[in-house]
Amino acid sequence: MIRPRRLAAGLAAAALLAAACGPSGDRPRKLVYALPVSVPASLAYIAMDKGFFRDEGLDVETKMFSSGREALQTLLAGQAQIQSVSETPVVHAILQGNRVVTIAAISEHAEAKLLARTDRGISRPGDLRGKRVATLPGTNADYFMHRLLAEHGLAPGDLRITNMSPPDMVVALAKGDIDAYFAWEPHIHYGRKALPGRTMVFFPGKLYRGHATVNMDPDFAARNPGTVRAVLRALLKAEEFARRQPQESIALVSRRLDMDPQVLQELWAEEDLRVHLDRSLVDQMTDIGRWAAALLGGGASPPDIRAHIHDQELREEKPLAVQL
Amino acid sequence: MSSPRAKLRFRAVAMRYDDGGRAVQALDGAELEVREREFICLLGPSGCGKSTLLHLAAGFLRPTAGSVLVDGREVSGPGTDRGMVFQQHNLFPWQTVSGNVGFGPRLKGRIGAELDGSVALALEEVGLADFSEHYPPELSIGMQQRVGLARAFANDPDILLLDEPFASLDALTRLQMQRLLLSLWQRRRQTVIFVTHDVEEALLLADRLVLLSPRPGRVTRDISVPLGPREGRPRDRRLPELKEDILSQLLS
Amino acid sequence: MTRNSERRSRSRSSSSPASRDWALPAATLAAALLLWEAVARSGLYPPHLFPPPTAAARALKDMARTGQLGADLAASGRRWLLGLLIGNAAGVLLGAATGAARPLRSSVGTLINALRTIPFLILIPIAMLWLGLGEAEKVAITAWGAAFPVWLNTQTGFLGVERQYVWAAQCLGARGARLYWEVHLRRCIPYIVAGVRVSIATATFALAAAELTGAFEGLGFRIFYSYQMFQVERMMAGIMVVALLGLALDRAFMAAVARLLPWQPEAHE
Repeated sequence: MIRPRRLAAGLAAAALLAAACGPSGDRPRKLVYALPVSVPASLAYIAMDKGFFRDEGLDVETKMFSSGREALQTLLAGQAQIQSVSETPVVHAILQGNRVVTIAAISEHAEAKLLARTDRGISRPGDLRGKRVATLPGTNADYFMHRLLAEHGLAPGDLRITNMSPPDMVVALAKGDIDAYFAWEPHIHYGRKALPGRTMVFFPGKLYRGHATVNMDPDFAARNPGTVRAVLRALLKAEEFARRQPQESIALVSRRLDMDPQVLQELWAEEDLRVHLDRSLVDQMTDIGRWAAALLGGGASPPDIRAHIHDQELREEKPLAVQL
Repeated sequence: MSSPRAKLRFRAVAMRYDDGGRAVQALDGAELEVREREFICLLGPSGCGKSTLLHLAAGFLRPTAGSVLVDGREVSGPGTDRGMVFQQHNLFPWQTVSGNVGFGPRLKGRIGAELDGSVALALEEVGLADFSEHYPPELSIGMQQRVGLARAFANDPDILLLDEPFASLDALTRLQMQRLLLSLWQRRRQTVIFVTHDVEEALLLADRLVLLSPRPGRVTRDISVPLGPREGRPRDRRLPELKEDILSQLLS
Repeated sequence: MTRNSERRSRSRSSSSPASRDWALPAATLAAALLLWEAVARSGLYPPHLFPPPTAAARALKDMARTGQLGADLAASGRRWLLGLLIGNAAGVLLGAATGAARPLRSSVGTLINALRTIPFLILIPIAMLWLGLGEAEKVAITAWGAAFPVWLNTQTGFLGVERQYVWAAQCLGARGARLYWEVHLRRCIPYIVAGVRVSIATATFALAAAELTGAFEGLGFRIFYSYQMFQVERMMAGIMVVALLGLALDRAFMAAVARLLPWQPEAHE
């Protein structure tokens, strides 16, 4: 039997340990950039691998995550200072009261898509009724699903929706356990490859424009404007490089993503790799916020997205990139 | 000694086994005859193969050379004609006292009132009628060994093989158990081989003592106990002297 | 252990008052919740990433009110119970087989030993290929997770059966299957009980992994979904439910064992 005093000492030690592991308020000498494995984050890989951060006097270490959600968690937990992810998880985080600001978007894309099996009788969005459809909740493809369903007068309950990670979706679709899935590249590409001639891709079009965002802790951004500007300068150099050297950029990014360069070549055209902050991003995020708040129920109010856009440094570095 | 017929016979028995890669010669050229209704005690230093001899008779082991015969037939495996009581792990802990005693009769097909009756009688005989629904771990070691005897006798074997059954008991309990064993045995006079390292116990119980040499075990002495009826033996004046004599033979 | 005490105290009647049995565990849980509350309120961590238990409890109340909690519990409970039953039965049978026969131990046993280290998450795509996506696949993964501890323990039990029990039973006339049933399996019950106890948790791990894919209901799904949507209170509420449920199931199982197996004191705690 443990004596009460020893138990109390143990609990106190545990509390101390927990405190010691907490986030520190010191300005880090090394910056950690938490990144997902995803094509829209290409400018970040280029800036990293071409040494543009180093050229700006920054010591940046990248941490790669299989999903943007995890990369975002790393930022929120104070374990990273810079972070990239699609705008949808950022909106979910803001809605739940997390402290995060977006200093720039580094791409605009039509990556979130629906892949459906035509041999299961799906040739229009309306055909999804009663079908088994996979999504990964909280992602931009998930948001696109809800927009597409609403647009065609379908409620989520009209489909048999199931959750899944994109690599599993490819297997499940080929196996026939699902009839369609909402995901992003390269998983749409792999699904088409698995079932040649038996699938159809639905692009988001006007319904949804995806953005890869660059995010920071608001206090960090406010205290370190010089660092924010240096990060943006490096990313702008990467944008320039991607425009001038597309082949070398594709080679570099395909190495980072461990993806066949041929596949990336096909997807490259869909990416608008551009450092910017504009009305369309804010509108898109506001729409997502409205939808997410309604999804929560209980009268949750949509977040004020504009308050989470930190545009001052990008305005100073490249005024034309900011159109708010 | 009442019958000249050999109930159990060991003929030039050798036993060698592997102990973690090391060959151990437990017995070599062991010769022994036990007559019907005879009560013998096997004595010898630790590790001399006393228990091995018993396990061969039970049919748990097969000799590497020679043969073990019961009623003239070679032993090919365990059988209900030979009952066994061990020193340790004797009773099934997952069964009640009556479940243990009724194990053999149940396998013989007895059920219902007949089974209950024979179990109750067997427990009555060992003085444990009140403990029939207890589990073995709830009993003292002495009580557990009483159940062990009841279980062996309830199956009515021709031969009883007892492997140091009272070695873990205190002196007083051991005396009580020796008396109990004799009273149970005297009704049918089964053939008994009793392994012990207690010379006095052997002298009190046996018709004949068989002494084994250290490993590899062979029979070195075969002594008919020169004492009268068992009831008078504890008070017999020759007992201490005999005990000394046999002990010195064991030590030499 | 006194060897010759006339009668040892009986484990059934030796339990202390029920209140004392509960006091320390309850106090420990309360202390853990208090510590959690204190750390969450201290501002050490962002409150939106590490909410206090009171916030989780509010979220739980909300989930119960909308019927979501009930639906999740029903979905997971069904998968868990079926998987546990199938997995444990398979574990006992396999353990008995590999424990009894050396050739099976070196063939099938080796294979099982190699397979049991595979993380459940990695199995899901394979299970999906064989069984398709759905309840069968989730139950199968849960059963897979439940089978290993029981298999290993049953095998260990079979290998450790004291030879005296086997010999005594043989002298009393037990042979073949009857011998295995009456002696080996009965002797293994404490091992099997310990294995089942571990499998209550491993089945939960497996089910949680299975619910990450191809589900839209269940506690594992709910925890993951809440994480994805940054609904951390709900995530914590789900974790709390799983932990308390695990504790309650373990207690219930051990209470049932104490009632059903009074002969095996070592199985009681």
